[in-house]
Amino acid sequence: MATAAQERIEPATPGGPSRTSGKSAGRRIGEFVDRNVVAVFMTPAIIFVFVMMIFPVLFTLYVSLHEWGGGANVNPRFIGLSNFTALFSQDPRFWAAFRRTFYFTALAVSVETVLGVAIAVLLNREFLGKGLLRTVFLFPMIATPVAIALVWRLMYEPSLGILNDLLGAVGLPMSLWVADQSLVIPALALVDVWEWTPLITLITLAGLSALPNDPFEAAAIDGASRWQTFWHITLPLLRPVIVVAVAFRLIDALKTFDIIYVITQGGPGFASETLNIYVYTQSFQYQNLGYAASLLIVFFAIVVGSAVLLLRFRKAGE
Amino acid sequence: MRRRPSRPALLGIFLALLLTLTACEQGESAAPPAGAGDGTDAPEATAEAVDGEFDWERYDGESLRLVFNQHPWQEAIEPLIGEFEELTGITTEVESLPEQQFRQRVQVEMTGGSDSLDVFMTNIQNEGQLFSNNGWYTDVSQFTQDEALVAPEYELDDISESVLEGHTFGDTLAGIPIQLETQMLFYRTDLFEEAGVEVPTTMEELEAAAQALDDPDGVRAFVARGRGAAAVTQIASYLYNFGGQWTTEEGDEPTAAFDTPEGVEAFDFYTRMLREYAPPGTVNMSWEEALPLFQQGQVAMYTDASTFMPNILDESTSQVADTAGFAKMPAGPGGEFQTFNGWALGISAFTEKPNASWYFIQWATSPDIVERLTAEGIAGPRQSVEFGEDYPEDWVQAFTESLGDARPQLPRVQKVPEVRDAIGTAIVSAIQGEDVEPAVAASAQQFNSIVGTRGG
Repeated sequence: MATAAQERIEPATPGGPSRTSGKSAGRRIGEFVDRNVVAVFMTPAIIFVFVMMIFPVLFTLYVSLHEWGGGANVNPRFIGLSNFTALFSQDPRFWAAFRRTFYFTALAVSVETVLGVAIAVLLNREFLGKGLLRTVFLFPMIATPVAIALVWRLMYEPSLGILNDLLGAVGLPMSLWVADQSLVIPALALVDVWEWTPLITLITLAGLSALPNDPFEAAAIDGASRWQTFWHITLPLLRPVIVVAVAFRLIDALKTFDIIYVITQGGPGFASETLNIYVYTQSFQYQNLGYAASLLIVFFAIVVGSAVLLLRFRKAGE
Repeated sequence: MRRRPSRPALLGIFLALLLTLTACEQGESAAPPAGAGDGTDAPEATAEAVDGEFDWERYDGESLRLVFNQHPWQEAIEPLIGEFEELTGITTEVESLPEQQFRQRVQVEMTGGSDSLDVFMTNIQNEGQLFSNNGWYTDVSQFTQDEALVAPEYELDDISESVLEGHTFGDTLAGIPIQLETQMLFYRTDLFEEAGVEVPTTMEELEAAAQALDDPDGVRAFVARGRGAAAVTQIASYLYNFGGQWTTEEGDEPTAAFDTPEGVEAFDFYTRMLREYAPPGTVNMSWEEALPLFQQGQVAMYTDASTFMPNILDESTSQVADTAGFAKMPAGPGGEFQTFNGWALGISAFTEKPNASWYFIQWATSPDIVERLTAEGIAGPRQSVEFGEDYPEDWVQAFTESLGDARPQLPRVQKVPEVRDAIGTAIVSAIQGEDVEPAVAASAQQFNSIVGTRGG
């Protein structure tokens, strides 16, 4: 595109045999853009999408069909679908990570949704200090995830951490927190809830302020209770907004990396190794690039599939 | 109505185009390059034959490119490199990168067979087998054996034979160690005195001491790393001292040997210590978690790398600075072995200046430089070096005595991170109270399948 544009502009040099001669170069470029406005404005975006999105996906697909140890002096060796068959039939770590990913996501996103909507509804009334409270609620979302994770990692420490001190202070038995295989995923989900509930709140608040007044007035005239109004009017009206918020969170939660990697690195053992952590380990630790690429393809399909299902659900609701 | 975009806007579009085009180029070059043929055929650099006396100025006028990992050793040596240039007339270009980028840089250049890289830092136990299988190291022993190339005061014998053996792959001495750590027992002299316990010299005594010192509601007796892969370097001396080995030594293909009865006993001992005498949560502990516990006075004994001595003695972060003691790792029924880990300097197989590269390594590991680096807190490979006042006596004794027969901590395979995870699985499940023997057997099986299917 760039060269094409230049060719078109070239005749515009002074003295060139052009019907537009006499006009300034700037004007001629302007006219060119006018004539090809769609192409000129689209091209950068198209190039960007191709280079930064389509090419990597295609390259990942290519690598996923090969056996390739990145560091060693070995060329990628074509092995067809062997990576995928190994993944599905011989890799218990993959299936365990698969289940954990959904366990973590379901736990985190469901709690975030309930809490987020509840907080939004509460914040939607008028009361003293509302603006301040709103701002405070956004803090977790603004902070750096790695910093948050480091703080939580310290708090979860069984001997030196503050959480066990708190439990001890009210007379409860100490907990192992993230060092306990069965507790580690809920504990990590709690960090995610702390950090991302405000996102749901924020989106829901925006939705709330855009709701029409008439249904609420009608309900008030009909004598509906507060709970009835909320359950039968507010929630159904908010549904499209909430579904979008949940979709954002769902996609993000499936891909959670920073929190888990900083707090547990997938441990104890592999008890908090989700798909994203497993892909990281296979590629950057083990340098099994081909295998990691096939994992990524499967992971990509899972994320896209989940998002599509959720948005279908939204349409079905309408 | 269509509005004509202004000139700045147009400029913006072309800039954006230009940027995407450069991004495109970068995107492609960022992809790891395809291999440069079979590694074993790599034309390994050999020493250029020289006659006559040793002469520091023999390579006056040559220039070297040195690639370092950002590390306390690198920080301490860089200000001194000017002296090397003055001494030899060789000019140097130093590149220091954070560890991850450093590894990538070295691997990418090696894969491409670049001759612009001459000397590089290398962590033998992590990447030695991979690099040597690929033929990326120049054999350093050909220089050390050539009198015309070694200064009379160099004294290679001062570096422990077992440590040099740990740096040798087949016939290739991959590098000369520049910074070493051994595993040590850190303990609390005050608690030992109170309980009337002697410093343990055997594994049996270690557990007896733990029993005597342990207070489940207060200060616990023991801590060490329990987090899978991170614990693998730490369990090594237990494994050796119970009579176990990582791998069989016969044949070329390394096969897991840590699932023998001796090995299982070592795993059982190490994980029992962590399960019964350590604070809760050891399965998630690497040194980042274990060290603070010792510093905060929460445990009486701690086995980890000798390099943590300054952290333990630093009064601003440690409450046990005055009461900490240092000792060698206890012996076991299988003997007394100490373990080491650390960094070395190697010469690229693709260098065009092997002799000048050796000169740099020789200078950096010479008695004088090692002694000066030691004064800066970098414990080096030389046993005769004076440590100075900053090092406690018992630490120096434990360290230098350990170096004499120290073995590498990690198994010699190409896929180190992957087998560390495999071995770590057994450690974690044993700490959690599962049966040790089947857990170790499963890890050994996984170890063999990793080493077998993807090349040892």
